[in-house]
Amino acid sequence: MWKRWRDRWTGQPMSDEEFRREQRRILDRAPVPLLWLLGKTGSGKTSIVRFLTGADQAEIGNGFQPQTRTSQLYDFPDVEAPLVRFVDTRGLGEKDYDPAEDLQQFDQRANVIVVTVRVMDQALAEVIEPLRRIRHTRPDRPVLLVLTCLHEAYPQQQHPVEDPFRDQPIPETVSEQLRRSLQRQHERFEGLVDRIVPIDLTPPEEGFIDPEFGGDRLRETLLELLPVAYRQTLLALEDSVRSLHQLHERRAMPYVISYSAMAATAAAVPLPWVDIPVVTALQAHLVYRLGKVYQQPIGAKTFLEMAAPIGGRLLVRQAVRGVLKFVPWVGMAANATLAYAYTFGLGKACCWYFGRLRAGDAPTADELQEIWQSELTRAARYWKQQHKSGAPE
Amino acid sequence: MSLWRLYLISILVLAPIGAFVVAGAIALWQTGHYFLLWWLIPICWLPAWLLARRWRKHFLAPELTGDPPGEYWTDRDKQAWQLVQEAQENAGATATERFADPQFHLQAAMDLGLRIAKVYRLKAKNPYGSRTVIEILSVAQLALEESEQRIADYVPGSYFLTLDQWRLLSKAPRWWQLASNVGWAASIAFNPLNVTRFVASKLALGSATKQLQDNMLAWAYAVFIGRVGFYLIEMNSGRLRSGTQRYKRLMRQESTSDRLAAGGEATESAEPCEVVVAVVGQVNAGKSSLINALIGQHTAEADVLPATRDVRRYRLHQADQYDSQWTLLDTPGYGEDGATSQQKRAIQAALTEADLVLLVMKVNTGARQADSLVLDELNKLQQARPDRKPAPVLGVLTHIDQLSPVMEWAPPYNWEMPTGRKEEQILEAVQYHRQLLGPSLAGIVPVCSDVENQREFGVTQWLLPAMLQLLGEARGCAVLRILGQEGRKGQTRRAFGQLAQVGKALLQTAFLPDQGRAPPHNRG
Ligand SMILES: Nc1nc2c(ncn2[C@@H]2O[C@H](COP(=O)(O)OP(=O)(O)OP(=O)(O)O)[C@@H](O)[C@H]2O)c(=O)[nH]1
Ligand SMILES: Nc1nc2c(ncn2[C@@H]2O[C@H](COP(=O)(O)OP(=O)(O)OP(=O)(O)O)[C@@H](O)[C@H]2O)c(=O)[nH]1
Ligand SMILES: [Mg+2]
Ligand SMILES: [Mg+2]
Repeated sequence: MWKRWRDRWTGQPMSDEEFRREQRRILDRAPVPLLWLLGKTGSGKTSIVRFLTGADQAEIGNGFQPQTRTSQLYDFPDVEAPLVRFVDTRGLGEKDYDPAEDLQQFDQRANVIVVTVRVMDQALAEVIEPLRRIRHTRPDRPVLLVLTCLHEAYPQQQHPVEDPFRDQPIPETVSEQLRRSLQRQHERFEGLVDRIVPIDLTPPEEGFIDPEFGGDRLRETLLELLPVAYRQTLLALEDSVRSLHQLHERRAMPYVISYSAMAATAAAVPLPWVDIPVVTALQAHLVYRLGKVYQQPIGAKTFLEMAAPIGGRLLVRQAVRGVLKFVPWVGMAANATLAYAYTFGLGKACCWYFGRLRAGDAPTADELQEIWQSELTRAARYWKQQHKSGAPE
Repeated sequence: MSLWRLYLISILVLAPIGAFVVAGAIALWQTGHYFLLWWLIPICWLPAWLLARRWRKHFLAPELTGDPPGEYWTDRDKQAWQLVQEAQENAGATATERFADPQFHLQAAMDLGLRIAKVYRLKAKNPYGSRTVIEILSVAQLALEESEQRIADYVPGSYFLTLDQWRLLSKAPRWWQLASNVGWAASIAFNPLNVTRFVASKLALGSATKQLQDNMLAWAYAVFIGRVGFYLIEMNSGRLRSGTQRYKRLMRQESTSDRLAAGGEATESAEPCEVVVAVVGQVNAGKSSLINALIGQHTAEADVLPATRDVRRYRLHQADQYDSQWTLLDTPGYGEDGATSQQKRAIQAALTEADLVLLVMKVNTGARQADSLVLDELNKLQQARPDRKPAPVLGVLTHIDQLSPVMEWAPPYNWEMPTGRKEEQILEAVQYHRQLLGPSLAGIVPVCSDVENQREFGVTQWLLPAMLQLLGEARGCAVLRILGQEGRKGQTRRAFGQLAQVGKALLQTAFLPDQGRAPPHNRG
């Protein structure tokens, strides 16, 4: 304990191990929402996880054979810096699977429940019964019902060009069969769920023009359902990703947001300066991560090149192993706002820098300086805007 | 004309001919031509034997084992049949003399009865105690009838065989044995080698005749034991409860259907027995659609929402040409939330009645827990009544049109030899289900049963043939079910009839003393 304080005051960088411990502490404090996917086997739980997180390791089944054989935890964007967590549970109704234990385990931890049901499926006793119990224990926890596999209502046809579900929950333009089934699902889940979103995420190789039919509605609804405390970071992500078209940048943004949020949490302690080593370590990790996303090797040289224009001091401690060898003292973060803004700005500037490197040209120091400044101001403004409603800092 | 007069006339007519025969024989003997003519016997008898063999196939093969157990036999029945076979095999080790003793046959039958009864009711002290008199008489009647039939079939002249002769067979001096065997030897011929040897040895080979005689007696005994055992099994399994008449009628059908299943033609038209096919599955699996596809009409109500609420019966006319009457039971689907107990009972009743079960499963959902539970339940139901054979279960995978690639539906598909992706997926789904539920299913058939949009495929191509393949087995179940039902029904009805009789008698004695006391023939 004393060592920690001493290190902090003397500005000693943390070791990797220390950093991890610290990070876990932050994550415990940081509001990372846990979304629990619950539904019959083959109802599209994994498809939704994959759609929302882009996680390649989330394996989607063929429909007739249960695919997810043990319940899995997915951290988005990754375990070290999660923005949101998904539990992809094993499918209900699978032969010889008693879900009681899983249900109990996740029931206590989940912040939002996402129930997946194929829209034309009427054999739902296996879903309704546990859901009823779960809902009963915590009626205020939001539950979202996702009706999947819309295409089963119109075999061998494309999805409607115009999304009819934007305006009406049970649109008149869809076929009568689909409408009646929707109606029945609404009745069936009355009082058990808060929102209902019909989607179809059947993969493009099946021949659908739109493989993410209703996907944006799903994202929006999820955000609306998240408790306020959890909403901020995800809203920020939504916001910053919306205008992005470049694949790497889209991938990188979750990290930027996540590390910025962690930095804010780390700095949100009453004693100023105490957590500066943590914040700097987080920033170093972010840069390292982004380098991976952009497939740019990170070495002392890159850091030096970047650190100078960004205006921070660079501490190179040979004694410390790993990434933490290169800790740029970028963010002199005194409070949450600054920690967030500095980290965010740094991340964005890095993205820009790595993007240029990837494209083959090395940006000048002036250019980098300029980007960094503008991102920093934007980040600060952004933070204030988000938190002016009195949300926790 | 009475019999003795007929005999007398016959003797008077035949006596001179007999005298000529004897005189001729003596003359032949004295002239020494006897040995020349002797060859006539083998020369005539050999072709006679060949022709007889040709014209009467079973003539030469009286099966010692008797009937192989019927298709409808349960495992328990087969277990009991092994006891019968053991008893038959023991016949070989029994001393010949004993076969001639009627008591021996009776005792053997009783012993066998006890042993078989143990198979059926392990703890019962007096195994015959709970049997009705009718049942026991039925066994005796049927077994004797058939033993008699066998012996008559295979032993020409057996009509004239008296018990004394039978006994003589076992202990008569050699000359008598020879003399009495000669006549049969030609036609019994179930050991044709003996006949030729018999002839070639010029009546001199004692061992051959001894063997023939042993065979004859042992065989007759084995036939008797086999028949008794067979009907004891039928009795113990409760199939004789409704009496011999009904039993015989149903069995006649059973054998016809066996022949049909083996590809034969229906010759005699028997009263068709009703085979009940229960169509069960999760809600919305496509049961009603499947029934519509099978019967070729849109009769059963099919809908995107749960539609069938109670059990409905439909006739499958396509099966009429196979001389059986198939009834399809459309049942309410299970797995729906808030299913009523009445629905559950309806499904259970259908399963209890079924001679064949079609387990309908939507192929594009992997949730098989509910189906597996129903299979377990069916299993439990069947365990609870060993007197009936477990109905075979045929798995039907519907909605194959929604397998990947979902945008494609262009039958025909030959999934057994897949070339395209759809066919591969169908095959994979079938294999997966076979592995998952395999042991409980007699087969798995993939179909598209979307009759509503005229997209059905596989129902006539694959499902119907698969059902026909199980026809024999299903009919076996049906026979047992019908006999069981009728037996129970008949017993109560008869019991009530007897009660009524007793009641009437009591009434008469109580209120009509005059009539009651006076026996009818004493009056007037
Ligand atoms: N999510 C989703 N999947 C769909 C939809 N339509 C079809 N699918 C197909 O549904 C099948 C099952 O999807 P999965 O995401 O593996 O389902 P799951 O709930 O994870 O299933 P298990 O892992 O087996 O419990 C896949 O073949 C998908 O391609 C849809 O609208 N949404
Ligand atoms: N695409 C497709 N649809 C099918 C198939 N079989 C049935 N359907 C449709 O599935 C729906 C349900 O069919 P039903 O026959 O009513 O199902 P069920 O099992 O009788 O349902 P319940 O009686 O309510 O338990 C109907 O809309 C049918 O048209 C199939 O093989 N493919
Ligand atoms: Mg899955
Ligand atoms: Mg139905």
